[in-house]
Amino acid sequence: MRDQSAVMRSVSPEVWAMLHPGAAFSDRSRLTASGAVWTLLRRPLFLALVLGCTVSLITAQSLTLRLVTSGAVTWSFVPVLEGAALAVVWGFGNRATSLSRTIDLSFTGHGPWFLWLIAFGAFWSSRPQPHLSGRTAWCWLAAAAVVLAWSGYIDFCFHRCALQRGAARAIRDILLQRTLCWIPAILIFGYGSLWPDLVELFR
Amino acid sequence: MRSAHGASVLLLTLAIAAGTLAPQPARLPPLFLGGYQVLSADFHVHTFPLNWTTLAPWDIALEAQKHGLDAIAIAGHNHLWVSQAGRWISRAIGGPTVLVSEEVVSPDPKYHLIAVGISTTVSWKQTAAQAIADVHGQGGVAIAAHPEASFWPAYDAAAMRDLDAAEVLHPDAYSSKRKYRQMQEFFARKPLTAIGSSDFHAFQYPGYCRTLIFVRQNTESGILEALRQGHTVVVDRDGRSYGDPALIRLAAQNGRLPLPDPAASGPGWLGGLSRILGIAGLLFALVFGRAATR
Repeated sequence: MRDQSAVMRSVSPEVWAMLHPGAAFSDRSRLTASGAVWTLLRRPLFLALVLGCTVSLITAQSLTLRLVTSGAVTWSFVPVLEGAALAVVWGFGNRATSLSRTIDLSFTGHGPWFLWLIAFGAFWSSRPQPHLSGRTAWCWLAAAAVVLAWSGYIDFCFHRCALQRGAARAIRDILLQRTLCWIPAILIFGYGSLWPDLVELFR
Repeated sequence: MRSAHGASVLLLTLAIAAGTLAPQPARLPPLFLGGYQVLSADFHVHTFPLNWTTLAPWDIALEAQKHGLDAIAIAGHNHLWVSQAGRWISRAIGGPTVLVSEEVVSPDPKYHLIAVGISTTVSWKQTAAQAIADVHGQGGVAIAAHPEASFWPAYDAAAMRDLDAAEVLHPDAYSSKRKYRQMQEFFARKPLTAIGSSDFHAFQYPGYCRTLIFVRQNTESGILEALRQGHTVVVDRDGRSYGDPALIRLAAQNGRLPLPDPAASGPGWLGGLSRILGIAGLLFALVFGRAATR
């Protein structure tokens, strides 16, 4: 256990949380952070950066200042909604950990999504004439489903170990958090034709 | 760990610098033929938010400009305001002409209709014929979007009578020969204005498929009039031309047509370097980012 912890400290907290989320969140919970504002913002900003880089790779097959910045700003609604949803869930609990620290710890669990985004951006930027075939789309959706399950487990460990929730409470809070985050995000992304698309999908 | 963090910052900085400094394609000079000005246009482009797409309106305008487009129709899914915002932004930054448009998305009857040059939202809760009448009532032009077989039932006799144009070239033509043939078959039903569109959401780029439009005046009204008159030429994936026969002959006689996409060859070696450094930097940051603070 001590050797594993020592190895995990040589990689980023995101990798640690991906591979050993229970231990990662238990250990990090005992650590203090400096600067409440920077602690609150650093990982959401990194998420926005990764999203901006992905947009730039897909669009221009490279990273340009305009597309990375614009993409990060445009897609900043994702970390904002996540943070807001987590704040609601945190508010219903015992608040043993500060909100900034809670958000920082929670965003540590985004490793699987970062891997998916980086791989997605690398894949599309390396294809000179990208044609979205049905089979390709299904492969990426299947990978996203795996990531979704993986991040769900990480979130469960976060709520159990970092927020000290019971199992049932942790599941309830995850569902609440994701509902509060995903519904507005989906509306922002595709409300224009959402209802017709759903009708067509289930017809 | 500080060295690893520093390395990721350095890689990302170099990646962004390389990508930003990569040479931008030169803009093509205006082309005039037979009393017309020939414009490159994409009449089916989407922008963030609300339209299942990644790029903001200012990025759409700049990407369209980069790919040599003179005019684009930013089509909101069942709404207009994002297109109106895109037009305002493009005017402010000197971008391409943006025609305020809507993609009317109806599930039942199933059709997608591009309404170009309108000022109020066209309802999707009506038949294609009714939607086309609504478009014409506003002085707009109605284009059947990617008219593959699944959409044909909605285009009954009434809709076909009044329909102005149809997409005969769309990215689906590159991923499915069946859909490619279906769009050609639909286009052959009656004399229609030929349209090639990218239907840009995130992949490919604005202008991936495009329309050459021959206008008397390079204005929004001039473009709409050219669409009504059928003064377009579309060159498909096999080099076959669709559109006004006289303009096709005119285009064939001119060595500069079809107008090339100045950015079609990609971002060059600096762009490639940017991509590699950027992916490496992101992976470094993810794997070796700052360890837990104490």
